[in-house]
Amino acid sequence: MTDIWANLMNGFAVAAEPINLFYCFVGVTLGTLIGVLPGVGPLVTIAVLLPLTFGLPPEAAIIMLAGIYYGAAYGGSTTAILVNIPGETSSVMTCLDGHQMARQGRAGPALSIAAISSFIAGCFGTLLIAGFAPPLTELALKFGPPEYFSMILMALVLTSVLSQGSLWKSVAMAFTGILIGLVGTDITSGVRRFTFGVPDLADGIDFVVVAIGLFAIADIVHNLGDAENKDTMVSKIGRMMPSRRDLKDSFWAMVRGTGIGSLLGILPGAGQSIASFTSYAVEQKVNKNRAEFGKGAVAGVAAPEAANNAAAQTAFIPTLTLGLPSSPTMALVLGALMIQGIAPGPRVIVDHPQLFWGLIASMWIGNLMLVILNLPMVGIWVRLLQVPYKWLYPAILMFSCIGVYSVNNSGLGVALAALFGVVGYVFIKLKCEPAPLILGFVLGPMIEDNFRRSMLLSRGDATVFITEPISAMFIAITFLAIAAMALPSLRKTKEQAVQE
Amino acid sequence: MIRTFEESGLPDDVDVQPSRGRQAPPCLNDQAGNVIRVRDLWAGLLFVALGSSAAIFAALNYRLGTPSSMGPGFFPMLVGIAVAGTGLGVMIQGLVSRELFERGGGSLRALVAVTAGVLAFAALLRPFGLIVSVVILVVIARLARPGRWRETAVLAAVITLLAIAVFVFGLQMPLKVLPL
Repeated sequence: MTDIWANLMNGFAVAAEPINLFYCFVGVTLGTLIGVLPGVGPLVTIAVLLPLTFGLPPEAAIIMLAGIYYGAAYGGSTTAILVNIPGETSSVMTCLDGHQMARQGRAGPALSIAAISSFIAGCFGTLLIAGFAPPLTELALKFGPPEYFSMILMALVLTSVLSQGSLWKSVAMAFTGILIGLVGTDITSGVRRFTFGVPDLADGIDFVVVAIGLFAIADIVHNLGDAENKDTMVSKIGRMMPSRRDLKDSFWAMVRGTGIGSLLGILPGAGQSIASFTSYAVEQKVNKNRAEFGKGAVAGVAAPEAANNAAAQTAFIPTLTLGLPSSPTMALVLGALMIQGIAPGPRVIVDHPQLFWGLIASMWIGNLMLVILNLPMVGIWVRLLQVPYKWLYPAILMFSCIGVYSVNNSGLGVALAALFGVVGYVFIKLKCEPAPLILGFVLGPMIEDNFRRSMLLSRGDATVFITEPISAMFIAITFLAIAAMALPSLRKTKEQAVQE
Repeated sequence: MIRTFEESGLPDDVDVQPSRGRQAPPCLNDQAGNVIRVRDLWAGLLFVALGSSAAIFAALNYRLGTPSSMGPGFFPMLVGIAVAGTGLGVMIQGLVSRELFERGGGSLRALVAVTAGVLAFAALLRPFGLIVSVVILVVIARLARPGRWRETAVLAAVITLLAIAVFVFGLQMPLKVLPL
C-alpha cells in the first residue's frame, strides 16, 4: 500500500510539471473540441489528433494523448445529450435519458452529472490501476512465449465475440488485421514480405495510416452518403449546477456504474459499450426511480457515464501491463507508445516508471480539468455543435492528411490512407466491424514472434499451447467464449447490448 | 466499389443452388437474382480471395521452413489459411441467414470525391507545398456534396490558414508552405 502511495506521488510530481500540465490541458481541450463535433466519434478524434503528439517527449505525448482520450469521451457525451447523436456505441445509453433531460430544459444538470460521474469513476479507476498494475506486471513478466501467444489469441477472440455483428466476420477481420500487419521486413530472417518491390513498405505499413484510413476517411465517406442529420438539437442549456436532489438521485447509480465499469474494463476484449449497457440495465431493475427511466431520469445519465468512464480507465490496465489493448481506442494509444519507441508490455512499468506513473496521475488531473473546463465552456461547445457537417469534413480531411504525412514525411503514406479509406468503406457496406482488424494489426507482430518462439522451444510441437497450464487456461477461455456465442439466448443478449 | 461487386455476378465455381429453395424466408421474393444480393456472400468471398491469395503467395515466394524453425513464409501462410477459412464460414452463414444488401444509402460520388481529394493531396504536397495541396484537397472533397463556389472558396481559405497555424506555427513541422 505504501508502495502504491509513493509511486502515485512520484507520478503526480511528473504530471504536475508545468509542461506536462500544459499538454494535459491542450489534450483535454482539443479532445473535447473535436469530440463534440457531431458525426465525429472518439475514435476519429484520437486518430486525427494523434499525429500532434509525435514531436513531443514520450511523457508529454502520452499525457496529452490520455487528455485527448478523456476529452473525446466527454465531448461525445455532450453531443449525445444535446443532439441525441451517440459518437460511439458506449454513449448510446447516455442518449436515452440525457437527451430527454435536455428536451425538458435540464441540459445543464445532465451535462454536469455526466461530468461528475465521469470524474468520480475516473478517480476510482485511477486507484485501481495503481493497485492492480504492479502485481499484474509481475505475473506477466513470468509469462513465456506460449502464454503470451495464447493470451493475445484470447484477447482477439474476446474482442471479436463482443463486437457488433457476426462472430465469423469479426474473427475474419482480426485475422485480416494480422495479415496486413505482416507487410514489411521479417525480423528473424530479414526477408521483405508482401512489399511488392515498394521500398517504402520495408518498414511495414504505418499504424496511423491504417487508423486514419479505416476510421477517419471511411467514416467521412459513410457520413456523406447518409442524409444530413435532422435530429432535434437542444441549444438551451439552462442552469448548469445539478440540484441536491439530482445528486442524491444519481449517487448510488454512480457507485454501481463505477463498479460495473471497472470490472468490465479490465477484461481484455470486453469494453466500454458493454459496461455502459450493463450498468443501465442494472439500474432499470434496481433503481428506486426506475419508472422514470427513458423519460429523463438523472440516474439514467449517471450510471452509464460512470461505467463508461471507469471502463475507459481500467482498460489501461491490460494495455499498459500486458501490451493488450481492449478496444480500438486503446489500440491507438498502444500504437502511439510504439511510435514513441516504447515497446508495450510488462517492461513499461519497470523501464519507464516516470512515464507509467506520470500517465496515471495525469489521468486523474485530466478528469479534474474536464469538470472544471466544461462548466464555463459549455456555451462554446454548444455553438460548435451547430457547425454543419459539410464544412467540417474538409477540415477533418486536412488534419488527417497532414497527420499521416507527418509520420514519415512521405506522400505514399497519404495515398495508402486513401486506399484504406476505400477498403474501410467497403467493410462498412459489408457490415464488417473494423475494430477487430485494427487490434489484429497492432497485435500481429507480437503473435507471430511468440508463436515462432514457442514452436522453437517446443521443437515444433504445437501441443505446447495446451500442455502449459496457464496457456491452456487462456485457450480454454477462448473456446468457452466461442461456444457461449453459439448458444442462441446468449447471442441475443449480446446483440441487444451492442446494437441499437 | 460496391456497385461493381453487385453487378459483376457470381463466379462459376460458387455453387449456391442447394441452399436456395423451400426454406427461403417468406419476406424475400424468391427470385433468381436474390442470391447475388446476399451481403455476407460477398463479405466471405472477399476474405476467401484475400486469404487464399496471401497464403499461396507466401508459400510460393518465401521459404516455409519447418514447424520448429519457421522460415519467413510459414506464419503468413497460416494466417492466410485462417482468413480464407473464416471467410468460408462467413459465406455459409450468409447463405443461411440470407441477409441482403441494404438498398439506397451510400454514395459513389462521396467515395470518389473524398478519395480523389486525399490522393491529390498526397501527390501535390511535396512538389507544390501546403497551400496548393490543401486548397485542392478542399475543392475536390467539396465535390462530394456540392455547395456554392463562394462557400468553397471561403472554406478553402479558412482551412488552409488553420493548417498553417496548427502545423507550421504551432507544431513547427518542417513543411513547405509555398510552391517555390
